[in-house]
Amino acid sequence: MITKKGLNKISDYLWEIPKNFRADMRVPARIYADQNLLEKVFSDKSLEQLVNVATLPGIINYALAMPDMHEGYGFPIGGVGAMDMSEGVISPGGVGYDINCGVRVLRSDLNFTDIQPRLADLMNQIQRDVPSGVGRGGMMKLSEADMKSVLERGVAYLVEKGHGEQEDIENCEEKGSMIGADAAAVSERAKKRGQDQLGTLGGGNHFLEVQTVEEIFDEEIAKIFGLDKNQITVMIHSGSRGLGHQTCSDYVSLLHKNLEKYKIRLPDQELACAPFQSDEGKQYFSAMAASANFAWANRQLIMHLVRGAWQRVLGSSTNSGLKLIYDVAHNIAKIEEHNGQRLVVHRKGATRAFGPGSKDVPEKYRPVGQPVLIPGTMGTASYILAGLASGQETFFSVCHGAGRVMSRHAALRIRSGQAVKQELEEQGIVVRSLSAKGLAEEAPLAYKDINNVVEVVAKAGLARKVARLRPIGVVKG
Amino acid sequence: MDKQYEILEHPADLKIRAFGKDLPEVFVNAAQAIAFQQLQIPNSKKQIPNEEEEIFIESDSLGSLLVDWLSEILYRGEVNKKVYTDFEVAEFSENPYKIKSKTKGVPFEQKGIDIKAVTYHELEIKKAGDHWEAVVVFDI
Repeated sequence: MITKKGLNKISDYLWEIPKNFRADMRVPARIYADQNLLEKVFSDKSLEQLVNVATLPGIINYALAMPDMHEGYGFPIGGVGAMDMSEGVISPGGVGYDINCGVRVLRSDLNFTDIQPRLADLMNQIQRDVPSGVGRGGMMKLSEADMKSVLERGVAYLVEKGHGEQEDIENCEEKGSMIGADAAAVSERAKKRGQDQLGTLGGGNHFLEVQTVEEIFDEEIAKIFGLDKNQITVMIHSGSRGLGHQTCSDYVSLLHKNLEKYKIRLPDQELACAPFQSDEGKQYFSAMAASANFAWANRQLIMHLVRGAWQRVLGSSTNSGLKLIYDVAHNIAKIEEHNGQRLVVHRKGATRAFGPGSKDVPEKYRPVGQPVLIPGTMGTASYILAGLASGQETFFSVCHGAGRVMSRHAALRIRSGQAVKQELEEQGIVVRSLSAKGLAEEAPLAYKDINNVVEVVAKAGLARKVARLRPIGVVKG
Repeated sequence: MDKQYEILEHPADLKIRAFGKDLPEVFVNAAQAIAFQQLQIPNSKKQIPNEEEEIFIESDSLGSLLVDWLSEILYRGEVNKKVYTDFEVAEFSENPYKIKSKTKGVPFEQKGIDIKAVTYHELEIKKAGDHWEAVVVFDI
């Protein structure tokens, strides 16, 4: 049991569980939180899960937790672990089942008053055009050849097929296509699960929001990101759907069977892993990268459908005027170089936030740092941040959202879906959801305060606040 | 044991404890938990379970057997667009670990909850007095 007494205070926003807390820890564990968020961390098992991460072979510096940290399985959500690429492991439990679950934000050339009279029509059209919910297939059934191209080329393939613009590619983390992706490493079963799911939102916490820019914190950076006060933006939150879930299941099972071979002892079986340099480790990385490409392609196709709906409702014969600002992954393992060391950085419910000057940031954003997209909850706010050089201590990682504090079960007991819908509509938010239960489970009260979480990220010097976005329309699966 | 399963607290995912007089019954009741969660949107087509499917799984441990069997049910549910509701264990062995079940499901367009996967996290299968229990965390 970890108590507050067991933590060392490093600063007002950083706490440490020392390496001697448990004999199997290889490095200390560090948590980014203020007093308020720290109290919430003790209500679940996330600290124990973070300590488990600190035991993984090859982990360097610290097992890290972001301020939206909460209990998951394997890694805690909001967990970051960087492993030495030659000595360390890769773990599907450090990525999660929804490989490359992530977020993209589009900016429009309209403002709130332009859109308000047509908002309900727009949300209806988006709901009609973008399949959402569980089990609903998409418009595209991928042939074997299409599937291979999506898995190995991601966004570029869809743009080539006419589902997007050339600049969409540049405005994606990894340019929407990870190096090392191999379609052959993804099982036939995973491909079968994904074959009709491209361009579908899915259920759970996935959503699509129409938002308005409520506040600008940094005028100069906002200008570079193309953001203005009262401007309308669209946020898309989805992942690799059943294809990614099956890939993770397949590899957790495979790596499990090989733990003895690599003499790996684990405190939680969900952390099943293999040395990155082993055949199994390399194979998982190739499959994960391919699944990540599927997720980027999924968000690309959803965006394409939104652009179509936008044009139909708001009218424009040439284009929708919706431009992709950026797209970030928040469940992924990446090969990155930090301080001259090649690392496998696991981010599970955490967002990469490269600072100014990074060659992996699109050229137009490079002087000010990577756009970092942080979705909030349905009724509150989302944020756009910019990466900072001082983010080095977390391998340039920040939170991925608000972070749950309440179980779905408990949220359901407190508020019905109908009541949640009514509360949101009273705030002027148009809500379109197929599942009242899903709405209740994702009620804002089930989450931490996004403003508090982002404040800690900013105060700890991990990223700079650029803009806050307020939802005006929500589609939920 | 009257109760098939109960839902345990977890801040983000679905954690259940399934009960049964023996291991096959615990397995079936864990699968029933999936069916119940997925069926929460009433089925507009109201169909009765159709064609029987056989599921055969072999694994290297009891825990893996449960995870692999439930994962297969989730997989088939997604690709066949069904919710599996009827389970009969035709064969069950602990040496080697294997299960053969006969399964039926109802066709489905829209499920109540997106159960993404069966995890190994906090997985526990044990005898508790006169019955068996299994704790399973599903990623949702």
